Amino acid sequence: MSDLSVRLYNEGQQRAADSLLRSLGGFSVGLRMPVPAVTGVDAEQLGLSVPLFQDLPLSPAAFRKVRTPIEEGEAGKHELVLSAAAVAAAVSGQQVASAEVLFAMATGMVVNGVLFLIEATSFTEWLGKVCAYRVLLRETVPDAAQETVS
Amino acid sequence: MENTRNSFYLAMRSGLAAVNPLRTMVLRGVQRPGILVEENESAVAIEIPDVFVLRWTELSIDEQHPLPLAQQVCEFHYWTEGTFTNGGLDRGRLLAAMDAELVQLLLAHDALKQNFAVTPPAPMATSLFWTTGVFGPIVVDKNRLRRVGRVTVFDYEEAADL
Repeated sequence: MSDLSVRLYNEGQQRAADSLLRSLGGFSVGLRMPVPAVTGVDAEQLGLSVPLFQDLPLSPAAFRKVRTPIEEGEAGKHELVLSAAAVAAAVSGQQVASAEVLFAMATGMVVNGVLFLIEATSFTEWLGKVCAYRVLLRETVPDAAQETVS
Repeated sequence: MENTRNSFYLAMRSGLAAVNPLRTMVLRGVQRPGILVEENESAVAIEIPDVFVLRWTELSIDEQHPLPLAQQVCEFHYWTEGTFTNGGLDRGRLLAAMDAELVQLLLAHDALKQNFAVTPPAPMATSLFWTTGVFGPIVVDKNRLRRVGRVTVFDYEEAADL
C-alpha cells in the first residue's frame, strides 16, 4: 500500500547524515576554487597569468577509496560523502545558484593536502531535500609520485 | 606557435564581440565574450552551452620557405540545448545562429601576430592567416545539438616564436 500521507519536511535526515559523517571521523576537506579573474586582462584568458586559488573548508566528510578493478596506468578513484549543510553554506558564501554550479566551478578537492579532480557528483535526498552529497574524485598524480624518501 | 594561438583567439574574441555582443558567459567570475580556449582554462569536465570552445589539435611545419611555415588546426566546439522558456524547441535555430556567427568570424582570414608575453603586447613582423571553416555534421546528444568546425591556421615562425 502506497504512502499517500503528507509529510512535512524537517531537517532530521540531514542531521542524521551529519551525525553519521561525524561518527566516521568528521573529516574536513577543501574545495579548491579559483580566485575570480581580473576583468580586462588578456593574459588571464591566454593562460599567461599565474592563477590564484582558495580552499573552501567543507566538514564533516567521509573519504573512501572506490573499489574498482585496478588497471595499468589508471589513476585511483575515491568517493567523498559531504555534509549537505556544509555545501549549502559554501553555495551561499560563494553566491552561486546551486551546488552543481559550485562543484563545476571548482578546480578540485584537497584532501589531506593532496589535490583530486572532481569526476562526478551526486546526492542523496529525502522529501526533495538533499541530505548528503557524493563526489567521485580522481587522483591527479599517482600515489607513488607523492611518496618521498627520507 | 603560442603567439599565433593567442593572436588567433583574440581575433576571434574581438570578432564575436562585434558580430554578436549578446553572446557572453561568466567564467571565473568575469563576464566575457562567449568564446574560450580549452587549454587555457581549468581542466574540469565543465561544458558551457552556447559558447565556442577552441581546441588546438594538429601541427605541421613546412621548412621549404624563407621562414618555417607552421600549420595548425583549430577546432571550434559548440553546442546548444535551446532555451528553457521555449522548452528547447529552438535548439536547431540557435545552433544555426552559432554556425552563422562562426562563418562571419572566419571571414577575416588574417590577423596581425602579436607577442602577448610582454606588456603591452608587441606586434610582430608577420601575420597569421587561415582557411575557410569546415563544418562537421550535427551530433544529436539527447536534447543537445553539437557541432565542430575546423579551420587551419598558418603563420611564419619568426625568431621570436622559436
